[in-house]
Amino acid sequence: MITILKNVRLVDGISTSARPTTLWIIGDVVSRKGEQAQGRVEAEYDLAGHVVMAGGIDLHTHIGGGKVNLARMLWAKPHAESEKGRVGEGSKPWLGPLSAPVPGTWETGRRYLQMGYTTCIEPAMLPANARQSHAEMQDTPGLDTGGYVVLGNDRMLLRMIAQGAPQEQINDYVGWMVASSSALAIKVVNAGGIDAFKFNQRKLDVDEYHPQWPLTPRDILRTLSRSAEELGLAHPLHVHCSNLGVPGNIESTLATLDAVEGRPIHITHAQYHCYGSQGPYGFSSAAERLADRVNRSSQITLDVGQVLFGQTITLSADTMHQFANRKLAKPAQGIFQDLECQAGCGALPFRYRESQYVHGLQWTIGLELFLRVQDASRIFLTTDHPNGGPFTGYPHLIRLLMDYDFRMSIFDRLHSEVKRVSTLGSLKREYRLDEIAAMTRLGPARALGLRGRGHLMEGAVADLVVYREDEDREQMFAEPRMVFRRGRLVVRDGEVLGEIPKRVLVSEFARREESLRWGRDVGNRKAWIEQYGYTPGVTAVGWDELAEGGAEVERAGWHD
Amino acid sequence: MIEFPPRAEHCPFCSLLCELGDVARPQGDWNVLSCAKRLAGQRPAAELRRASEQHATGDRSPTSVVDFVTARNWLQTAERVLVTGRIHSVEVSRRVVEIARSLRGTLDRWDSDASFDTFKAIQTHGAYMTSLGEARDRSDLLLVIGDDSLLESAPGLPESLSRSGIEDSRGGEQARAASVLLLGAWGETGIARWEQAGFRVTAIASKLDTLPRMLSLAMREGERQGATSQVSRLLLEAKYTTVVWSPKDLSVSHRDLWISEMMRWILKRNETDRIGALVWNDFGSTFHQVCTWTTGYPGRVCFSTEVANYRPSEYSAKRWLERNRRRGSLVLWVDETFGDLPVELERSGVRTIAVGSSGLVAQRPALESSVVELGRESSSEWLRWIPAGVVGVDYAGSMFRGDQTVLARVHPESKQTVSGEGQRESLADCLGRLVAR
Repeated sequence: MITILKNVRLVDGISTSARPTTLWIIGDVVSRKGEQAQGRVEAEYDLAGHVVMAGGIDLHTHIGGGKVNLARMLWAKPHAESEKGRVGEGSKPWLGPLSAPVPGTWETGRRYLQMGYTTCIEPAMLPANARQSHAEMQDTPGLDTGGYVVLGNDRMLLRMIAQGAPQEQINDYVGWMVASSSALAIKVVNAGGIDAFKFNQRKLDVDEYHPQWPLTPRDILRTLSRSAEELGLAHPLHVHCSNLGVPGNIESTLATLDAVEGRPIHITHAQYHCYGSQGPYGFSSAAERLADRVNRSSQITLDVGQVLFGQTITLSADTMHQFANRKLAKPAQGIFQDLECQAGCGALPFRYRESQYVHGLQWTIGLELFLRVQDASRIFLTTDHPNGGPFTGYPHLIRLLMDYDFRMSIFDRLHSEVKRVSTLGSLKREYRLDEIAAMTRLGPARALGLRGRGHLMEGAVADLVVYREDEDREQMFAEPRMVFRRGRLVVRDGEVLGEIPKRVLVSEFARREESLRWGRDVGNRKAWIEQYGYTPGVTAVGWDELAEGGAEVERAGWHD
Repeated sequence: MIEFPPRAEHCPFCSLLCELGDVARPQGDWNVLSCAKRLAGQRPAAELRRASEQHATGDRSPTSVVDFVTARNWLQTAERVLVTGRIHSVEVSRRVVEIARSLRGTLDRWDSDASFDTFKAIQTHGAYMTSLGEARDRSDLLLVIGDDSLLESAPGLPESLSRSGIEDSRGGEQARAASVLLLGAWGETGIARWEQAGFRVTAIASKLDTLPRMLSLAMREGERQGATSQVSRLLLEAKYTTVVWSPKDLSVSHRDLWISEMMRWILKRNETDRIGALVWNDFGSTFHQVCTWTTGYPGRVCFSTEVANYRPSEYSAKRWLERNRRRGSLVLWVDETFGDLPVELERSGVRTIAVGSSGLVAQRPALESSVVELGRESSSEWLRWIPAGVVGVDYAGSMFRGDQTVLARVHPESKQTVSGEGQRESLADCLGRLVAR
């Protein structure tokens, strides 16, 4: 089956066609030289005035798992009190706000797809909760999904590090955790801090000792980054740094970068981790320091976690800092949980306001990061959905990056002190389309080891988005003309036409089979049972189980 | 050997504490902790299956094509549908949400008041919770509220929370026995169960209604509170307290307010100390989880439009039955237990399609008698049975443990332990066939 897209401009972050050209979809892959292709032409579209990009990839969005569902439950309100009525109403419901800060899976999947995103990764999958995360993602239609397994507060690991276990032994355990969770990578959240909070410690800096174990977050970060590298995981250690949201936390963020001793590292929702403690309220931007560091090292990637003004729910495995912020919740609610000797979670409703100094400065800090990091393929567009705002705000965020005047029109509305202290006005950079493609497609695909995604080169997966060229970039990115999934047209002018079987992205690493044997070893099983109270297999999610649920398993490998 | 009391319901509904028993401990047999599926489930499962097979041979067989076709006709002609029942697995929960949406019906798990009281309470102020594994490993004080009925709902709970028998390879902190403070109306049997599990037990008879206030006062005023002085001492000494209760087994006059007050107290205590609630949920928590992630709401929704309309007070199954005792109403009863049809449903006279375990079939003779008592000629006027397999007995499925943090895969027992040959059609598949166009 062949589909031909004619007179279209190709933008993929590697190269941008200056002049309109033709792109072929042959079966489920892209071809740039399809003239000789054999087969029936299913459809041919003249797309003059349009651009084509690969399907969007969100490598950090909270779409499935225990804390996500707790947030949904916390927000559930009878119809009249909620915004549910907005969904499904109006002539273009796909352009309206989400029904809730954390909507159900059906709505999440459709809205991402209608926006041209085709691959989304849940960034905080607890090993004990991996099955639920996968189950929720399985029920999220239209998207290929995957998850990072949360380590670094799991007591078995902490004990091993504290007792000086050899790295090889730790790698086996980490490998088991990745493989048995069917995960794509390792995430560490406030290394050791979540567990320290269970021992009533309220703060844990990178070189501070855990109250129970003779180790520091630096030890954990170093060990896990070695494991990620030595196991051969495609995505480097995905790090939520210590001291989230705390003024002056730039020091711990830079210390975190040092802790991995030159190995690759991804800093997630970096906006929340580059604060200084200067300025009128003891809160200032340190975006420049972080951006400088990133610009000097090709081993670092970031996603931003941009704040967008409005109501949302913040949710995180970082119970320590979520609990510390509970009095800032709006409305005044909050749900927290200590989980299975592995981590925790907290969900707090939160409203970002333009008129509030800290919120306004957070908004500028995120944008500063985007504008100061030079290589767009190493900084990724996220709001850390729903923490900074809903993913449906991405088109707005793209416009902020591509349109200086628009950016400044909002900047002018912020708290007067923000305007005084922020350097945002001096950053005149406007992102180009190819840079947007790099930060939303190519860069994330490379960072995750997804070879066939994120670009339009010969043989790429035909997850494609067709946008009408529009000077209003928000309008352009909010409403793609067409979305193709593996060669099949699934969205046209906002209307979802169909679905294709889902794929679950899992990590294929060299020692996977060996790692799976870890859980069968009698000694390991005994230690596991003593720690967690059940056998290792109880929470393990095999590829066969994922396939039983109707998903195809796609292996992500090391990206050259 | 610890013996569980005989249970009417079968195993996966033991809230999966059974999974603890998979591997023998060096010093003892962990299988003593297992397994509702084995201990409570096997006998009834086998018996009920035999019963279902007997029915399947008769003219009025629940599996007859005639009954199936009638049920489909009822579904197609119904003006308003309630989808309810005892729904306990992810697979069946997904399917009932789908079906309720496609039928534009109302959806609520049967007997979900305790769950919705908990949701309401948490939505009021919030909550600080912990999980079974965390409590077992970290907690040095368990404050268990209620009475012996908690152990009927979750018979393996004391053993699951106990560290007794774990080798001291991880240091003294881990190996020490935790204390249990039992508050409420615990009987000798209940107290003995906690002691047998290796806990140092203090039991204080207390009035549950005022307990949140009492705990609050006890902490504020310390030992001056007489009987509560021991409470405050234990709480102040503890490094990590776990407060355990089961909403369904809580005998208080305003459960939602009680939970809300208790959660407020726990949240407040966490400002200086560490404490978490281990809220032990009933077997339907899986349904609430799945319904929440698929629709955004934990249940009690109506799909009269494409969007789920959530009204926890309006769309409770019992309320629906009260309001819809008229022609054109239909209940699709989905049952993953071996329990009876609820009396309220029988008495409502609303047309009912019951799909589920062979247990329903076994109950049929009893139900026929009650139908006669109610003056109806036969259940065939208002009821169609569609038997289907049972998760954890006939096929694998996923269910949440009672603390809702571990979604376990429940595998069927080996064929030798179940009567009959081969596996039966899963409930989810059977439902799919029923509503297929």
